[in-house]
Amino acid sequence: MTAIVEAKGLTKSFGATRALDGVSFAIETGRIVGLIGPNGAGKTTALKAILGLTPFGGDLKVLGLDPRTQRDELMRDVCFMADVAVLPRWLRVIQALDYCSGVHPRFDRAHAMEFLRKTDIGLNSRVRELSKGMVTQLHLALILAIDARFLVLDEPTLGLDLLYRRKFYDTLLNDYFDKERTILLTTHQVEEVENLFTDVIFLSHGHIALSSSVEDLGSRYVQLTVAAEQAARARALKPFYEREVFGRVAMIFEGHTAAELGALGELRTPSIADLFVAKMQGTATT
Amino acid sequence: MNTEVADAAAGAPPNATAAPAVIHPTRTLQTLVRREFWEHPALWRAPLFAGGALVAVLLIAIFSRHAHGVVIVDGHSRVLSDIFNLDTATKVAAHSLLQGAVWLVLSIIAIVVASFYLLDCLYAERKDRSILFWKSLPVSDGLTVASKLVVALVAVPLIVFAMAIGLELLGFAIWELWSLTGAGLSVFSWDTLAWLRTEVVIFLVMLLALLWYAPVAALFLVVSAWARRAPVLWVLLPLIFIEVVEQIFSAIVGTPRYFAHFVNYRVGGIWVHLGIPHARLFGHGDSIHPIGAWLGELNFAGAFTSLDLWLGVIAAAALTYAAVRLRRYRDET
Repeated sequence: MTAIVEAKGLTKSFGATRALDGVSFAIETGRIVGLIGPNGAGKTTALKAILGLTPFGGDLKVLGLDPRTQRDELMRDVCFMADVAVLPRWLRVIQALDYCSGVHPRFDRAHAMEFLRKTDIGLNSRVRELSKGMVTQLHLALILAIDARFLVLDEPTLGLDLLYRRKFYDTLLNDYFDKERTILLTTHQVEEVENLFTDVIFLSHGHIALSSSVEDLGSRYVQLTVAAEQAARARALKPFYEREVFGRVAMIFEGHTAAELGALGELRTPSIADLFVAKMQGTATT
Repeated sequence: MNTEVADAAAGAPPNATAAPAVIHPTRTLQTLVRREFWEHPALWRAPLFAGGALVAVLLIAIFSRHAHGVVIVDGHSRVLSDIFNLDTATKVAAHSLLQGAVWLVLSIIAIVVASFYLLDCLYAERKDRSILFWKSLPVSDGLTVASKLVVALVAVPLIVFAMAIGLELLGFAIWELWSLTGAGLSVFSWDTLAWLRTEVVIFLVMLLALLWYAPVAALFLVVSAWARRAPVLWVLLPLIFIEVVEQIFSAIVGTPRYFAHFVNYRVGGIWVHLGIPHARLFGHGDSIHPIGAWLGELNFAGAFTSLDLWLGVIAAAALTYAAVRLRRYRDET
């Protein structure tokens, strides 16, 4: 497997705030990576660095190119969707198709038309006449018709209802994703898309709090739910997070085997959402 | 069924091998220029409406009660054509004035619209965040900014030039038909060579204006790429401020008004080089002087080889580069 993104020591400051404070990570081909973090963690800054939209410090290679100096070349193989509100409101659907055909060598107009045919979007409609969900569908139609190797999505479903969100991710997986392509996605709605990810990167205050493949999470982390009276024994094994649920205590451990913890209570692999909350609260208290 | 359609019908991902690897920059530029006219249709509509209004005024004059070629002189009604018995040379010259006037009116409208366009284009895309969409496609900042200049300094002037010819010919035809009916006054005459000479003069004047004002256009782009709000004010207020401060200093201390002179020179200097202030519109007596004759009378060679003209072009290139850098690295979305 080859690395699509290799970041070493990325830094970026806004005044006194360090949005990225020496961030290093790698993204391999054929993965769907979730970049997850609370507001202000540096997610969007990291994406902008990857896309060459903002100056930054450190080493960064995307598809082997430096986004600072080779952005134009890079954008032939990278596609991104900032969020739904960025399609200009005056643009007509047909103009969006004409424009993409005119500037993107890998845009397949027939493919976009085919996708749009399945929606209620009229070719002569202007973006301002479409609902938010329809604008996202239009943007998705444009993106899916571009044969890009690397797709970057920044909160693509923000403000959409559940039906549109579900449809969006289904389409992404079924019509777009394959082993040659890589997707990097940020979202706040972690629970909905956690089954989608092959890898996760947690960002907090400009630092990487966790970077792992989803398969490895199961062997690294374990969630133990114990009765309140067993809690003290479990606590002795130093969980990094715990919370009380209906009189029982759920704890998350790192680096313990199921054999060590099994006797104390119920074991399972923590969900990405649980792990995210655990990591964020863990880092918030230290 | 070809494979492309078959693939699309099956909902398969687009086939990379079917698409060309690159799009030629001229095709990209063409698409970018079309895009500008989609967003700013006023660039062609405003001059067209102005031209339409001119034709409408002509038609109203023709069909109004007072314009049936009859005037009251000393209490007697007289047919106009009896009073004005114009010779052919004067009619040909009058026709050249019509050509020049139509072009000038359309150009003034286009200059106003294009100025607002240049000040808005790089600002609006940041304001509505659509810059993130444009930047998600493989189009360089250089080509994008160049397309805006091409629109303002090439596409719009050529459209106006062509539109002016069309409208002038339409106006001329309407007038001629009217005068053929006997009701209208025969004031214009057709002379192909004179007509062509006039168009050449108009084209050269236009070309000179575009080169001379190119730095202003590029400055507008810089302000548009830079201003966080109200780019129009960012152009006007500093001008007014410096002008006022210099005037106060000049009044109190008596310093020369360098800035005012510079602005005056950059507005009208090239026309002094060309000799427009001495250009004749009227010949001996009351006869009209054809614009086409300016070809030999004005100093086109001197104006086009003026050092200040080309220094301005270099300044325009530098300012355009600054606008490209601003668009590339400015991040406020």
